[in-house]
Amino acid sequence: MWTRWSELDRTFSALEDYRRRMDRLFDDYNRPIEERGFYGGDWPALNLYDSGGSLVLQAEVPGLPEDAIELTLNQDVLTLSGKRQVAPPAGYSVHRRERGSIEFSRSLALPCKINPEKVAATVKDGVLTVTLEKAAEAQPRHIKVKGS
Amino acid sequence: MNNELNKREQRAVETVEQERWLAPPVDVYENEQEWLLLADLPGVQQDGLRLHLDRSELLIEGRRAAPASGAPLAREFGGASFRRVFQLPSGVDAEKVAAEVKCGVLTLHLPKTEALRPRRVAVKAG
Repeated sequence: MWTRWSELDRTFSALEDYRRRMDRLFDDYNRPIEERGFYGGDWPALNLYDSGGSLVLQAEVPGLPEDAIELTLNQDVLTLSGKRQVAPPAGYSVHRRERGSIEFSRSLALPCKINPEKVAATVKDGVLTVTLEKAAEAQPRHIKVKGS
Repeated sequence: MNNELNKREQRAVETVEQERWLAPPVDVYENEQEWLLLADLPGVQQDGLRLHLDRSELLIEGRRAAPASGAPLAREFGGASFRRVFQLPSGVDAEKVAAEVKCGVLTLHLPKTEALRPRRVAVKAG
């Protein structure tokens, strides 16, 4: 009896495995695995890089003018918020609308202390780049190895 | 069963690295003069954009500029290029198609041919 149950369990777990694979197939259809981030599919998509002396945050914000993006830094939490308004141009009828208006706010805890005086943000071609210089104590240090 | 699955996976033929494409979100509008297409192409500059109109098929391709350098800590978007193909209605004046990319948004004007534009017909009193 017990063996039969475990047989069944195994069959179900295999089915479950199939289901998961199918789900993954659909989820990943547009997005390669390495691009699925820690934050899920939120808007805007963010990339965070560590370039040694500073952290670099990039966000995809197509159609957002610089004054529509608000950046706030509270201790080591960076918040990116704003509003994208997409209105159909006057006098046109609509065939297809996939680019939605959106009000967004995303916060992320930075992995190290940064110097709040040395933060620069630019937006170019719909990509926001925020460069955050690390605080002096978080800067990488070079340690010399001595022979004995 | 699981074992069999894994075995099959190992035996499966793999493709050589393929270029990855993303379909950008698109808006399409129409008025009496033209069709207007807007597409979100973040990171694409004017020279990274390729538009190809073959009879009634419109191919939109956008290549991104290089991303920031450094060790990635979080990655939600990559360098994949954008690509989408549309079947256009007949009556697009291919000579007058105009496109521009601004703030990562493509604006594409597809003017209608003369024959398709509405004409005002004067009504005369008899």
